[in-house]
Order: sequence, then C-alpha cells, then structure tokens
Amino acid sequence: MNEATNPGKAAQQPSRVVVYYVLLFFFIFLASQLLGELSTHYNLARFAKISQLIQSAFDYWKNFDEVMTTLFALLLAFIFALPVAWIYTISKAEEEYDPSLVQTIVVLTMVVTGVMIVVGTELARAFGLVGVVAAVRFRNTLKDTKDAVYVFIAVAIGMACGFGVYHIAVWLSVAMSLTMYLLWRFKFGQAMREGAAAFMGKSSKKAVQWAYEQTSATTQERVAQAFERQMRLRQWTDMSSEKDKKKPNAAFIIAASDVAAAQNHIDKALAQAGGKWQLANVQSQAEGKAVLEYIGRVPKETTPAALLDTLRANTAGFIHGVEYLSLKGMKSPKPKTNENAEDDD
Amino acid sequence: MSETSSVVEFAKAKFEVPINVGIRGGDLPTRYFAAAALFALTFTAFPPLGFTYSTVKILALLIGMSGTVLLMCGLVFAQKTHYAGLLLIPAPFVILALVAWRITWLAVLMGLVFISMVTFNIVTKRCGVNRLFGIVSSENPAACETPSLSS
Repeated sequence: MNEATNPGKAAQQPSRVVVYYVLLFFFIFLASQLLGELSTHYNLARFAKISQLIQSAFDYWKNFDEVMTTLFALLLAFIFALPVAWIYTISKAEEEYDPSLVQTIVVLTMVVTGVMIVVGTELARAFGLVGVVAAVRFRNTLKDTKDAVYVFIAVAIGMACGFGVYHIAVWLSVAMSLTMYLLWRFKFGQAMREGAAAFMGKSSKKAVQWAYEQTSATTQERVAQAFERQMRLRQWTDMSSEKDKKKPNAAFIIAASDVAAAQNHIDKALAQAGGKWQLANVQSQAEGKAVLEYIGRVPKETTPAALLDTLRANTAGFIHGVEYLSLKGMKSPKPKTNENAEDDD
Repeated sequence: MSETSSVVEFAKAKFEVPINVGIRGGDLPTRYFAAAALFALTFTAFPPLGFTYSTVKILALLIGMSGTVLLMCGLVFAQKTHYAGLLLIPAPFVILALVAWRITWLAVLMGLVFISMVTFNIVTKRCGVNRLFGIVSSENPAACETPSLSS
C-alpha cells in the first residue's frame, strides 16, 4: 500500500504492530503457563526436548542477561551506524542520493550485529550462515562504488557490535565517518585530477579529453540532437534550393503543445511577415507535444527579432518556445569518398 | 492467486460456509468457534460435573491463547476476527478467576453471559465493540445498518 494514497492507514500501522507485539508476549506468557500446568499433571518425558525448548525460549528471566546484551548490542549498532548514514546524506550529490541506502546502512548494521550474536564462536553456525547467504542472493546494483563502501562500513560495525567488541565498533564508526567526510570535503579524487589537468596545460589533448569526459551524458545528447537538426535542415535547404533560385537562410523551431493550433498560428504569422516559408519537419514528443521546424527566407524589410515577436504573440499557451536558427554559411556535407566508405564498414 | 481464489470459491459453494459477512462486518466462523469454546469452558466449570481446577485452567489457557491469535490476525492481516479475539481473551480468565475463588456458580453464570453475548452477535452480525464506540469498519458504510433481532 502506497503511503501517499492512504496516509491514514499508514499512520495506523505502527500502533497495530505495537499491539501485535504486546499480544505476542502475552501469548508466550500463556504458553509457558500452559506448559507449566501440563508438566505438573502429566509426564512430559517423551517431549523432553520440546519442553526444554519452550521453557528456555519463554523463560525471559533465566535468559535476561542474554536478552539485555542483545538489545544493548543492537542499540549500540544503531548509534554507531547513525553518523555513517549522516555522512552519506551530506556527502552525496543530489542526483546520486539514494534514501533507501541511508536506511540500509542503519538497518544492515543492526542485522549484522544480530547475525554475529547468533553465530557467536560456533563454526557450524558460521558454515550454516555461509550456506544461507549463498542461497539467498541479493542482486542489487549500486549507483556508485562509494555506496558499496558505506555498506561494508555498516557490515564492519555490525560485526564488531555482534562480537561485543564495542571499543572497535565505536572507533570504526568515528574513523570511517571522518575519513568519508574529509574525502568529500576536500574533493580528494577530483582535486587531484584537476591539479593534474592544470599541470598538463589547456592545449594538452589529455586535458581536453578529461574535460570531454566531465561533460554529462545529457549535454552530449543535446549536442547530438542539435547536430542532427542542423544536418536535417541543411538537407531541406539543399532540396529547396534545387527548385528555387534563392536558398532558405533561416529556420524557426517551435515547441508546441497543440500541433494544429500552432501550425495555423505560425502559418498566418509568417504569411503576414512575408517571405516564402515551408514546414520542413514535425517531431512528436511525449504528452502530445511536438516540435515544428520551418525553413525559409527572412524578408529584407523585417528582422529575425521582429519575426520572433510576431510568432510569440497571441499563442494562448499552445506554443512553449520559438527558436531562430540562421542557415547562412552552412555547408553541405562533403560526399563520401570510396576510402571513407570502406572505413565506415 | 487465482488458484487460491478458486479453492475458496469451491469451498464456499460446496459447504455453504459464510466466510465473511461483508458489509455487516465480522467473521462468522471465528464467532462460532468463540461460542463453542466458551460453552466448553462453562461446561467444565459446571460444579456438578466435578472437573478439577487444573482442567479448567488448561482449557482457559488454550482458549485465551486462541483468542490472542485471533486478535493478532485481526490486527496484522486485517481479518475481521477481532471480535472473537477480544471476547476470548478476558472471558476465560474471568471464569477461571471465579473458579479459583470457588465462586463456581457465578463462573457458570458469567460463562452463560459470555455465550449469550456471542450468540447475540452471531444473530445480529454486528460487532458489539464497534457498535459501542460507533466504529464502522465496513467498506460501504452507507449500506452498513445494524439489523435488529426481529429483522
């Protein structure tokens, strides 16, 4: 159930779980009472193992020390994991931040503590744990390698708490939090790389390569789209110039939410402005939006800025953006030679 | 999922067991169980039959445990078993306490009161606790009227 869709029910769940646990302990109390009553009247020797098991499981006062030790270890694991999670929240970039990993760091520490308490020093249990972990595989790809480090820190703190070496756990928490914070604060890897690039000089090919790598994938995609558009418009221009003497020298890129209304408006506006214009391309996008591409010649008696104002006027919201592109000076791509064609293969 | 549903549908059609009474709330089989369990406990507490205190205690503990489980199911699995749970947790211990204090006839009387409560609930198909606090747990509150005994 999504919390956003049903907040009332989500808010009700914690109290339900608390009541559930109260009832669970009450059930255990009743079960131990029942076992005690049955053992006074009936010979339970045939069920010695289960009897002993139930008695030891339900006798909290007998195992009070162990119960308190476990709770104490879990509490310390929680406390030690919090700074690590906090360092993660402040050191991660907004786009890489994963809220579930913050919770994972805290909970994983406590889980590993519990596992280590159960395993203890027994070799057989350790082998059992290996088998269980091998059987239950958690295939999760972390966005950042550093996220895996946080997970390992959580595991280490959890193991230390589980084995009761709290002095190691607390210093693990302090040292690793401090290390991660300092690495982030002084931009350790990035600063070294910037220093090296500066040392190499701006003209260096490696520095240029490094700058290119720093460019985000989104920017590269935008550049590729713009290049593709330029090439397409160039081809249209060439095709038009074969028919007419005068080549188109401008293009308007119009982002519209209502294609029909936008086309009607643009056609009228361009007809009033003068010149010969034609719709070269329509690219449909998500949510019914589209991009219209017009090519033509800007009349001598007007300017691109005045044309832009005309196109933007009275659009009633169905045109989101108008962009002017000059096609002057664009050269047609050179025809491929046979050598180049072979290279492409 | 669909296989489970088909099994449930088959069971309902075959045995005509009212699994859940829907808009009127409540899970009838658990209330039948509550009535039967309380009847058994009242029967063992009946002085002329001569059941020992230990027998009553064992039965009361078993019924109390079953009531706890029913209430737990009602809480976590959102089943309408809470009425039987709420009744079966205090009722056996009230009877057991009265038996322990050697007021056995009052224990039997209390048992009959509890049985009549659950019987009334089975007939009216409306949770007494919900009615007391004005809670409407039905998915269709508009159609959730409290039928009278005569209806």
